[in-house]
Amino acid sequence: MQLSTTPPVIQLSGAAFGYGDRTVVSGLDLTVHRGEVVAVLGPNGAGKSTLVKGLLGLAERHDGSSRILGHEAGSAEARAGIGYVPQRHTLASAVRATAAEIVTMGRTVRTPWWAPWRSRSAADRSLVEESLAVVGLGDLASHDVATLSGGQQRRVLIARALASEPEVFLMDEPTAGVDRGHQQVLVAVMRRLVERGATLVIVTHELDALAEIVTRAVVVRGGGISFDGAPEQLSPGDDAHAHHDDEDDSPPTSVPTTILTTKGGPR
Amino acid sequence: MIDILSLEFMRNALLAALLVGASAPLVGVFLVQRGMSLIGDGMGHVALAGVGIGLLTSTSPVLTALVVVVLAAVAIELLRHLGRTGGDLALAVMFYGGLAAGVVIIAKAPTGSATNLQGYLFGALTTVTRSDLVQFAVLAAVVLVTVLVLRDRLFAVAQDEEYAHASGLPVLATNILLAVLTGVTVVISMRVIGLLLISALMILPNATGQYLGRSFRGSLLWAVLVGTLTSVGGVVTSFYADTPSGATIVLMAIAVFVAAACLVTAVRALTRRRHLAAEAHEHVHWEECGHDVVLHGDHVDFLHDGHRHARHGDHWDEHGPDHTDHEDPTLERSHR
Repeated sequence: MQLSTTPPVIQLSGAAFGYGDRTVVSGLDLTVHRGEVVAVLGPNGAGKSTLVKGLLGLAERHDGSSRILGHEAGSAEARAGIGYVPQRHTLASAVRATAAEIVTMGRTVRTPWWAPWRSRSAADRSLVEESLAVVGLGDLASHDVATLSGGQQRRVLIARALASEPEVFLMDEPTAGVDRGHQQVLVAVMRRLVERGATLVIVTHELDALAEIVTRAVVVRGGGISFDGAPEQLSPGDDAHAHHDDEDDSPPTSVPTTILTTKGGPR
Repeated sequence: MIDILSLEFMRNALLAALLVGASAPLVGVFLVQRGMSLIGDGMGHVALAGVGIGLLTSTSPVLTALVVVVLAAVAIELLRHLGRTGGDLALAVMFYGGLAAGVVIIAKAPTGSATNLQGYLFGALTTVTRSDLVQFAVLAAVVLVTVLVLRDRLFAVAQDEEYAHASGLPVLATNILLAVLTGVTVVISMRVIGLLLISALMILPNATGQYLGRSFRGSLLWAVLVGTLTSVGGVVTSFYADTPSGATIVLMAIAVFVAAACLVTAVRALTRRRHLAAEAHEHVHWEECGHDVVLHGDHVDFLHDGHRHARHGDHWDEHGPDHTDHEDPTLERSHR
């Protein structure tokens, strides 16, 4: 963990997020420093996505404070520091788009409102090329994304986020639904991002697949953070536990009691 | 061709066709991308109410239609944004209300008649006046410049609204702008193509472009070319064949679409090369995968358990000096 005068990448204190009158997660205390790779685990419906949406400024903050790089989450400055990798089953739409055209969006979102045409500068184009090369898809830049495999499309989404030169990547289930071979490539890509100095916050069901890069695990359960610490402390030998719920309508729990009792655990 | 150009109304009609043929696909592509292909149709309905108001008050119908469609465009996007249940019904009320009000007002307007109602709905070449043309040219210039300047932003918002919003793009403003551009395009079209058929010229050339282009940009350029040619070609045909211009243009656009679809499908079938795909290939080759690579023409092959694997779209092909007559039972023969 890094000690410096720069503000933490993410700082939540007593934060609560929700939509309208409904608060989904509350009492969130979380500080993420530069270079950390944080896996956000938890059962479906526990509030993982709402936490991410809150950081993006897409869910409302109902209480506490949430700051990205020292700026209020949802502000232009905070958004400029985030590279969002949404969960998408497919990138194909009714119109054709090449991998490079999708990645160019990462530059488009960084252009000032008064100069929207600037996403076509030579510097922007080389950033798009570089981003595709980092995810190992340099040779497929001019291919229609609809013809790429699911795993390749995930890498296009990571390249799009990378092209916007973020401090922190927020990834929503980046390895879900891709085969094991491609999961390994995605992990290698993420390692490259970390080597380039990025911070990763990864919402996932598959800590197993990401074990070699994750430095910290955060479990969101019952509308709050129930565990925060080293991934090894999450019941060794069974890291599939985090996606089960112990509540009403969810699948039967297999969450070890150790996790339930380590609330506010090691930071 | 000479006799066509010697008639002033035909010169006006051809210029108007050129303007609408270029603008409609440029705006339409983003509607297709958002899955809102039919919104232009609704805008056409609403515009008729504006035309009626213009005829009733002896104001330029182009200007009154413009005001009405711009208001409708803003209303449509706000309804969508608020996501209220019943928003869909509100749109239906707006669209059919606009059409019905337009028909009634035109019937009661001093200069209104069944003939010019038909002209507004389906296009009538002889109605394009010099002052219309000037207004159309200004509006088309606004559409072309706006799309050119904001194309990346329109693309980003239409492609992935959530990502665009999370990244700080003004999503609602961009969507309202697109709706306004759609309305403006509808107005430009009202003399040559007609308010009930304009939506076709926003969508059909883009459908053709999807067959002919290989990227968003390439497909869009094809769409503009097809839109312009079918629009102008339809006007010329309608003059000689004495058919209504709007319907002629739309039928021509459909013919071009069908021809392009058949041609491209046939060319793909003819150029389809037999190749061998590696079977059940879960491993993903890339720079760090640990397998050696060899240069093979314009690409690299990965050496994998005595085989040479090359990337082909979303799967891996067996390559190598003898792969064309390789009959290894572990390989499956497939076609692309």
